[in-house]
Amino acid sequence: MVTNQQADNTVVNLSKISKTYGFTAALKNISLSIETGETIGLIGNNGAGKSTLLKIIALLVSPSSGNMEFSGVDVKDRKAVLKKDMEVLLSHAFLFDDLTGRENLEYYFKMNKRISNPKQAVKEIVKQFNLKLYIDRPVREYSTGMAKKLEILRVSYPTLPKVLLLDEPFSGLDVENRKMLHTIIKDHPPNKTVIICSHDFNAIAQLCSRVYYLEKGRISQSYLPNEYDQFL
Amino acid sequence: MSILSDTFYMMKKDLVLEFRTRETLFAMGLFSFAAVLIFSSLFNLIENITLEAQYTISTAAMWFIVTFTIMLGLNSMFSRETQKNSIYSLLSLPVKPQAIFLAKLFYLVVIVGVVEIFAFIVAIVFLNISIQGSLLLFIFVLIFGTLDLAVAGCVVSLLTIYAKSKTLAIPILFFPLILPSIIIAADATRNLTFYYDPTAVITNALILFLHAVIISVLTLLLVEDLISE
Repeated sequence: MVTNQQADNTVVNLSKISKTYGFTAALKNISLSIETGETIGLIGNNGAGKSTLLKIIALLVSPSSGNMEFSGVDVKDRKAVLKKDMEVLLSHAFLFDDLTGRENLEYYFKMNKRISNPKQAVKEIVKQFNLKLYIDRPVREYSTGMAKKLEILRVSYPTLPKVLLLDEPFSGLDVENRKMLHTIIKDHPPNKTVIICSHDFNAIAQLCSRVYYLEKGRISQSYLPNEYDQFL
Repeated sequence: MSILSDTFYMMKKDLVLEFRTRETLFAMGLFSFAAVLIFSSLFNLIENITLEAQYTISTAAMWFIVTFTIMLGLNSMFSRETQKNSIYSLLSLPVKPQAIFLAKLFYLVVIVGVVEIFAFIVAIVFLNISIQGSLLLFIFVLIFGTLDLAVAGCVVSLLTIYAKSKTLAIPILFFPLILPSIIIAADATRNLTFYYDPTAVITNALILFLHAVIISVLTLLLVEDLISE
């Protein structure tokens, strides 16, 4: 039974969401409710629909049918406003190769509107994360790990957004960045929500308060931490 | 932050990237220069060409060059966002889709404008065109004509944003949309450079402007559907 308090805490509510690409059904009747403070894992094999589901929650892809609410608000006509409360880290980097790290961060901080003084924020990042040597170089000269670090800072600095969405966040990460991202997810404030999508259960299970297993576009199982043994 | 500042920051980012790499600008400039030289050498091959014929062909050639220059720019419009298969970098921003359209439109107008300044200096020298009437009217025709073609180009770019074969899709959609505009723009320029009929020029310029406004308004109304996957 859903109590009023639980209903108020719901940050993302999906109701019968389906998505088709041509004749291929990527998602079939997904209903899901995610509460504030949770860390949700979306697990599944390649092509199970987990990335599509993540992109629908991130308002990057429109569902073919079904309804979606964000903090109790229907997303249909308020996408631009609601995107302010979200950040998404996809496997494809958002950074522009011919801009410097500083220009990239300033651009996204300006556009994402979570930070009032983007220039100052980047100065603080440079100091805090010791990026002085790299920040004024074009991103095309960065190593994969360095670019990934900048991407993580783009979505998580100075505080996490209301909802942080991560698609295969640990793939291609070096030890330092893995540790940094691990800490960000594990220590996230109780008023923030993290949704992680991965095909590797072991990589994210210890971070998640709930894990959904997707199969052929449907949620076939959900697991709480004390049920993780059943999955393994 | 308003739609205007969102538009400005997105356009600024695209312009910084373009002026840093100069890939599209160089391609557009080189094409314009080569096209002007080819038309110029053709005139030298024809004996006894009348001044009227030379002006008619020159003005048509001028808009032919502008059209293909814009087409070169269209391929790069969304390429920075799509080159890493990440149009999502644009879609993830908390901005109205109208701001995305306007930013791309102004970006295209600026880079085409830069190339046009260069191309028209070359054209005046090599094609031997002189403006009989008002220079101000000529600039108006040029601005409205370019704006009209750029708006149409932006719409086509939006329509083909998810197309797998953009090089095929863009011309198929672009040419039918802009054909009337090219004819009107060429006619206006010919009237200005040879006949000097200001009434006809102003009428043609206004038609180009209205065409651009109508397409822009329709696109601004539909852009959210065009841009979403």
